[in-house]
Amino acid sequence: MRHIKASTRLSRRDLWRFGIGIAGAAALGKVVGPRPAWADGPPPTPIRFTPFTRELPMPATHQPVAPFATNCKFTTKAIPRFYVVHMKKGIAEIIPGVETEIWGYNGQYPGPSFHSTFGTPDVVRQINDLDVETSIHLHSGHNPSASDGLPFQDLLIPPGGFRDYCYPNQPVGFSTGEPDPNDNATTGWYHDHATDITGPNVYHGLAGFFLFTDDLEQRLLASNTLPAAPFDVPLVLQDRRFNADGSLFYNPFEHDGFLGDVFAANGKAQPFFRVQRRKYRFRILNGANARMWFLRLSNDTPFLRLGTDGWLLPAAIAQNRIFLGMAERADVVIDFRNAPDTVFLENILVQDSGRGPGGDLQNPDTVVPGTPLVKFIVQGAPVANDATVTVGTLLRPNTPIAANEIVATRQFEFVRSEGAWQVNGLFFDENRVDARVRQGTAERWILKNGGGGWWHPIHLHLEAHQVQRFNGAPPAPQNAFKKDTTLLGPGDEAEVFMRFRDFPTRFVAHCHNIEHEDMRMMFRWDVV
Amino acid sequence: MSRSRRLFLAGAATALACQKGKADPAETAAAFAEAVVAGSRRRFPNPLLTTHYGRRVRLYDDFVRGRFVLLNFAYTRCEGKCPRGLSTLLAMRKLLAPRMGCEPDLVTLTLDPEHDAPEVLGKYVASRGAPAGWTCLTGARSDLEAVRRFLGFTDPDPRVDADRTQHGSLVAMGDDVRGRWQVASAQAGAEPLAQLALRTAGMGVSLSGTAPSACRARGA
Ligand SMILES: [Cu+2]
Repeated sequence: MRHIKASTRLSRRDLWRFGIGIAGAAALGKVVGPRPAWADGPPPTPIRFTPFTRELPMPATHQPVAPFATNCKFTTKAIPRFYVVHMKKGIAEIIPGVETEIWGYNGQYPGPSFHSTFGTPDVVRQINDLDVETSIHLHSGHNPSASDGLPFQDLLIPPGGFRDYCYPNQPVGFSTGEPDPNDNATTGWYHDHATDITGPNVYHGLAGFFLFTDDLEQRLLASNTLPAAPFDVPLVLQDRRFNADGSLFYNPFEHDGFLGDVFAANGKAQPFFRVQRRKYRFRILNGANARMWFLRLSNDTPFLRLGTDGWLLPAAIAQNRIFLGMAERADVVIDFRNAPDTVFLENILVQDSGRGPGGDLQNPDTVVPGTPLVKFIVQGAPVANDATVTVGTLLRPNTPIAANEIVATRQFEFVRSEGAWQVNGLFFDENRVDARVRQGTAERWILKNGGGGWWHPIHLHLEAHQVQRFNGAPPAPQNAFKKDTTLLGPGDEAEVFMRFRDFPTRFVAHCHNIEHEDMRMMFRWDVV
Repeated sequence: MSRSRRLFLAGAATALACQKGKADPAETAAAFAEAVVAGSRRRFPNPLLTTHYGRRVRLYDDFVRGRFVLLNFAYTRCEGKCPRGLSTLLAMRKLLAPRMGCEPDLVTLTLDPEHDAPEVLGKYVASRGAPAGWTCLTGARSDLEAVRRFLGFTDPDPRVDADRTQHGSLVAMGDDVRGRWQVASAQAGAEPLAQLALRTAGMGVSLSGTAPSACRARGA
């Protein structure tokens, strides 16, 4: 692998190939050092490294501890599992050979994964050993307001404090005697959600996987339909930027959306991963603050898409390329049976601004081959008894929300205004309720991009929503069932149906460009 | 002093040494603070500006160093948004006083320096009851623009960026001792802003509580 030198003249295409990107390219050759200010975006990371020299790390697993006294109360008789997590500073090697201070769950980046089972509640004690406030959201979880990890003053964990999060892990609808396991989530993640500072908190490392399983998924594993661990691999993609001393760069005065110029998979810059000639399941998570990914495989074979965001699809579909807005997930199988010895997972999207990538969602600006994010080193002969999942394999049925269930229609327009970010002309105020929905009903929400060329991935808490129309047309097949984050490119408008079951009181919806969220592109809605 | 802050000071000294011969070191030192903002390593602008009393001041040296401070932009000919934003910020200061032991300083930089001479700003402050701890600043447009760009009160669309009515609603709040800064819209409301200010100053999450014996916002 060639080593990048600032003095070497590289084409724009080379820069993508080697993972430097457009923003970095503009500044190559300039003197790097402490700068009073800059006119053309943040300074490029002044550390050079050779990609694909470190193995893809696997996040650790949170281990249950002995039960402790807690205020958590559950309606089920099942015995909960107890966890204790310390949010604290730690040291990570993101760039090979460089030590970087991170803020992590148990001091790790990415955070250790939770492995949770439907029917068994979890009690997670989060202890804040950091010097910033935190609030831990379980993204794709279906949890009471007090345990959702919301940005409300009384729910923040101050430095030195702790909070017990009570996760019932019951199928949606359980409280009314109509549990619907079709709405059971699979690939969740947990991350910080503290008011106004979610951006720096998540960026410094406060994010990890929260994986659920249930009887249906266990049947798919037992029948060898889906690849099981160790061939089931969580894969979080994030971008980071560094100061010369190896510390993470973050500018608190930049609100368009943070973009890094170093691309990390599971917290490691451009790693390699040794795979056998078989099917692997990857839970790909866009864990970036503001960068989107348009993924392809260098050998031009399709991904087998199993799921979107938290949920398995009704049936597996083939996708040549996968677009992931922030917080979106793609549960995929990559089949290495007939792969060459080297395959790259590449990002072909051109994005040099927090506003979003070039083009629009229907026709984004791309460059092929793009930036390689992970190098797969494929070894051995095709294995026997490989997982059987293929295009059309039935996974998790979907229970559609019917039009005749809809009791109200609301529109939410996401717009930049006066240097910050609003919904329907208002900034988030935790004391103002912008929508009151009736528990047990369903509504139609129109999510509308207010323009200006900005991209906004919209995350609705509490339950999955079901996209009915996208710009007036049926949504793409991978987006046609359950979503928790719907990406709005420039000019886009989504019509979604959503139910409100089990848990009353306050929740939020917001843009998941975290800098937009921190500048209050969020609204409170209450279930009454 | 945190480890990162010490590193910054060392870095800044190196930068100054490198710039010798290109610019007067004293002038360069004054134009930017020696300390830097956590995370970005950027040195705070420290231009020579003029208060509404006509006093010559340095932005960083006189208003930011060692303190908790609120910074915003406005202009006296602005109607609607600027007066509303200022009212919110003045109300927010009052909400903070019980916890901080004083109202934190509010520094308002003009977006209209050609019109907003010190005496014009003086009348403006007087028209708002001249609350103590509120200073309006004017100066060279290039210096004021550099501060605006530094604080990110900008828009990537040049047409929107050139429209100064777009920049009158934001407030930057910073604790120079902790190196922590936040920006929010004054339209978010006095109480949410006050809560954010308290957290930025590392003083917890609740506006109710006991007052310190001395003013925490001024480095006491
Ligand atoms: Cu947004």
